[in-house]
Amino acid sequence: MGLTLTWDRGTVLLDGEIPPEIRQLTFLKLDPRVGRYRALAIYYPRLLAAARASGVAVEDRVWAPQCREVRPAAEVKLRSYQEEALAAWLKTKRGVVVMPTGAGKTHVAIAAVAKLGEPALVVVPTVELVEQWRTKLSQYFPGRVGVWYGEEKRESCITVITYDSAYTAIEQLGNRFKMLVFDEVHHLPSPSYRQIAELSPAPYRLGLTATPERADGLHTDLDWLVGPVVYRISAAEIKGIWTADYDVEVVKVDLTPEEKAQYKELEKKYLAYLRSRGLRFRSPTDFQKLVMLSGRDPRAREALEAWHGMRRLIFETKAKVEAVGEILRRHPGSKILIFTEYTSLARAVSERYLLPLVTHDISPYEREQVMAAFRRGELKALVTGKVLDEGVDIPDVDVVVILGGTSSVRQFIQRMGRALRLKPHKAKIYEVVTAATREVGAARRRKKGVA
Amino acid sequence: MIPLDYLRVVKRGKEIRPAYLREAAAAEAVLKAAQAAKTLGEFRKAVEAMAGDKKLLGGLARLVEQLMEIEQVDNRLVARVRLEVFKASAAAGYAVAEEDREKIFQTAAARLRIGSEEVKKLFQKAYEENRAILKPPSITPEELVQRYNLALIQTLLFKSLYVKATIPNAPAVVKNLVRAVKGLRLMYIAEEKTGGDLEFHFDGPVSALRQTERYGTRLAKLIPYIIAADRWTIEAAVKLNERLYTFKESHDKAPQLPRRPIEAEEFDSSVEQEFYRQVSRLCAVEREPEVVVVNGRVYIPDFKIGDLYVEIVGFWTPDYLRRKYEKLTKVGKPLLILVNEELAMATWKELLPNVVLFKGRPRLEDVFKYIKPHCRR
Repeated sequence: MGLTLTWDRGTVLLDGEIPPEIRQLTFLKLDPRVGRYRALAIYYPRLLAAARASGVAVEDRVWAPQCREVRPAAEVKLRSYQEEALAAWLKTKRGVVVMPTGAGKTHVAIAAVAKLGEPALVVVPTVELVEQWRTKLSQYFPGRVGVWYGEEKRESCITVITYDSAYTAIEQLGNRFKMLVFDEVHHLPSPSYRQIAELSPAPYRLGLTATPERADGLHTDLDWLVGPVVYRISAAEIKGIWTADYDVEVVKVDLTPEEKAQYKELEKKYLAYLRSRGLRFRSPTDFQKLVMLSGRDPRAREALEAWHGMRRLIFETKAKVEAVGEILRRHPGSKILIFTEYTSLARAVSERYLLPLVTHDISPYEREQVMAAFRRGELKALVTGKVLDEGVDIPDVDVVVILGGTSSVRQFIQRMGRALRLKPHKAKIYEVVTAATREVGAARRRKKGVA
Repeated sequence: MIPLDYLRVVKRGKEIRPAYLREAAAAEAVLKAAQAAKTLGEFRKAVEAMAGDKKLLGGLARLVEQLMEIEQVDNRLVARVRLEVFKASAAAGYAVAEEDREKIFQTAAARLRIGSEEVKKLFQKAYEENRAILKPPSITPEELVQRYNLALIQTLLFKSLYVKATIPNAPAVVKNLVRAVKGLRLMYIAEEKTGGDLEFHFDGPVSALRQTERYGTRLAKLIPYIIAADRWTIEAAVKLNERLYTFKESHDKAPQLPRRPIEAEEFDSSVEQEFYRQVSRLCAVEREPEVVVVNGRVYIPDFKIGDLYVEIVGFWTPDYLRRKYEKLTKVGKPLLILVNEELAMATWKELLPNVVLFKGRPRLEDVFKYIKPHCRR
C-alpha cells in the first residue's frame, strides 16, 4: 500500500502511507474533520515531486481530465517575437508573458495549448472577452471549445470562463484541466481571484498582460500563483503594431452654472474635513484612509459622500454629452469609440445620439450583437463604460473619446490601445475634461507614463 | 438575501449583530411605493426620495423587488429593434439635432414593419427600470420585516469564516440541513451534546488550511434550514474590514423570522414503503426516528422498532455503499440491516452482525425472528 492522492473541491487529500519527510511539508495540515492530511491544490506538483523523491509508491487519483488530448486542426502561425515568447514559456511551462495591446497575446496562448496538448481552462475578465476567445480558439480547435459564465455553462476540452465564475467553479472544474491560461493576469492577485490559482492543481500555467504591475504591489504574488515574467516586449520594440502617429486633443468643457455652484459647495465640505484632520492625499492608499475613517466617523462619511458627488458632477456634466455631438459632427463615417467612467453618462450619450451602448445594464445578447455589427463596420460609433477597457479587439477604430476616467496610467494605455492598432491613417484621441476641477490633474497624471 | 452594501450592524467590542428592524413603518412605506409604482424605475425613484436610513430602505427595496412579478421582456426582439435604430441613426449621421430623432425612429420602424411608437417603447425596454410591475408582492409589512431581519443575518454571514449551530435531535430538520450542506459543497462536523441536542460546525474544505471567507455566501444559505428547528443557536466568526467579530444568535433572542415549513418526507423507495406497511401491522414502527452521530457524521436509520434500528440498503453506487458500511459498523447500537442481495459486498455479510439479504424486497418471514424480541404493540 502506497500513498494515495485524491481531489477534494480545491484541495488534495492524502491517504495511506505518508513518509515522514512528506509529513513535514509545511503546506500540509492534518484535517481533523476527515482524519487525513490536506493541502491546497496549488501545491499538488510539489507534493507529487516530493512523494516520488521519497520512493513511496504513489497512486494519483487527483485528475478527472476533461478530455484525453487536444490537437489543433490548423497550424498556429506565430510572428518571430511570439515564437520567442512561446519558447521562453515552454522552458518551465509556467510564467507570465508581457506584451502590449495588439501584439497577439492570444496566439501565444493558443500555440502553447496546441504544443502541450492538455485540456485547458482559459480565465478572462469580461463576457466580451469570453466571446472573443471562444471565436479565436474555435478556429484552431473546432468543436472542442466550451464557455462557462452566467447562464451558459458548457464545459469542453478547452473552456473559457470569467474570473467571477471561476472563483466558485474552480472547486468543480479544478481537476479537469492541467493547463491554466489567465488573460489580463494582473487581475489575478486580488484576494478573491487568486483563489482560482490556489485551488487548482494545474502544473502548467500561463499569464498574459500588457501591464503586470499593480498599485497595491500584489503583482509580486504572481510568481507563485502563475510563475515569474518569462518574456517581456514593449510596443516600441515591435515594428508596426501600433501606429506611432496619433494625437491627443484635450477638449475642455464647463460645468453649467448650477453644477458649478454645487461643485464648490461639495468641495468646501470635503476640504474642510481634510484640513480639520490634517489629512493629505498623495496616493490611492492615502485615500483608503478616508474610506476607513468613514466607517466610524459620520463627518468622514459626509466628506466621502461629498467627494463622490464632486466626481459625479465632473464625470456626468451635461456639457460632456454636448461635446460628444461636436465630435460626431467632426468625424462623419469614422469608427468612434467613446469611454465614460459612470454608466449613467454612457447611457445619457447613447440616448441623446441613439448610439449603441455596451454596459452591464444591457443584455449580453444585445451586447454581443452590437459588438459583432461594430466589428463588421455596420455600426460606426459605440459608447461604453469600463467593460471594453481591456483586451477586446476592435479593428480600425479611428477616434477614441475619453469622457471620464481615473488617473490610472494602465486604463489610459488600454483605452488608447483600442485606437492604436496599425492602420493607414492617423488616429485621434479626445479627452473631454471639465475645466477648473480636479479632473484636469487626473488627466495629466494618467498621461505621464505614456509619452 | 441583500447585497453587502445594505448591511446594517451593531458592534460591541468583539461582538457583532445585525441592526434588526423592530417596527413596520419603513416596510409599510416601501410596500406602498411598490403598489403605487407602474415600473421598476418609478418604484426605485420613490424609495430613493424617502427620508430615512438609505441602507435600510435600499435593503427593503431589494427584497420587495425579489418578491414582485415584473414584466418579462424578449431580449432578442428588443436587441433587434435597438440595432435597427442604431443603424438608422448611424446612416443619418446620428441624432445630433433633436429633430432627427423622430426620423430615425420612423426609418427603423419602416424596416421592422412595426409602428414607430412601438419601436420607441421596445427601445426603452432594454433598461430594467422601464419594465412594468405586473404584481406587487402580496405580503404584509410585518412579514417583510421578518424577511428583512433574516436577510440581515444572511448578509452578515457573507463574510463568515464558519458557522456553528445547535438544534434539537429532529430527524426531518437534520436531514434537510445535511442535504443542503452537501448541495452547497460545504462540510460539517456533528456532535451530540449532553441533553441530546446536536451541535454542528459548518465550513468548507479549505477552512482546514487557512481562515477563509470563501464559503460565506454558501454558509448564509444554511440559515433557513437551521431556523426551521424549534430551538436553535447560531455562532459565527465574521471578518469585516479586516477585523474579526463573533456573531451569536438564538431563537429566544432573535426577532421573529420567517420559517419555511418542513415537508413531510416521502419514503426513499418503494421497498421501504412496503416494509413499513408490512411490519407496522405487527409492531409499533417509527420512521426515521432520530439522528445518530457516528464519528462526527450524522446517520438517520430508516426505522426503529422498540430499541432496534433497521436500515434498508437499496440500490446505490459502490462508493455510497462503502461509506454507508463504514458508518454502520460504528453505530454501536442494536441494528438490523437489510441488504439487496444483488449489490451486497462480501464484507457486509461477513463483518456485520444481523445482516439479512433480500431479493427484490425484504420478506417478513425472513426478518421477523430478528424483530420479534423488540416488537411491541
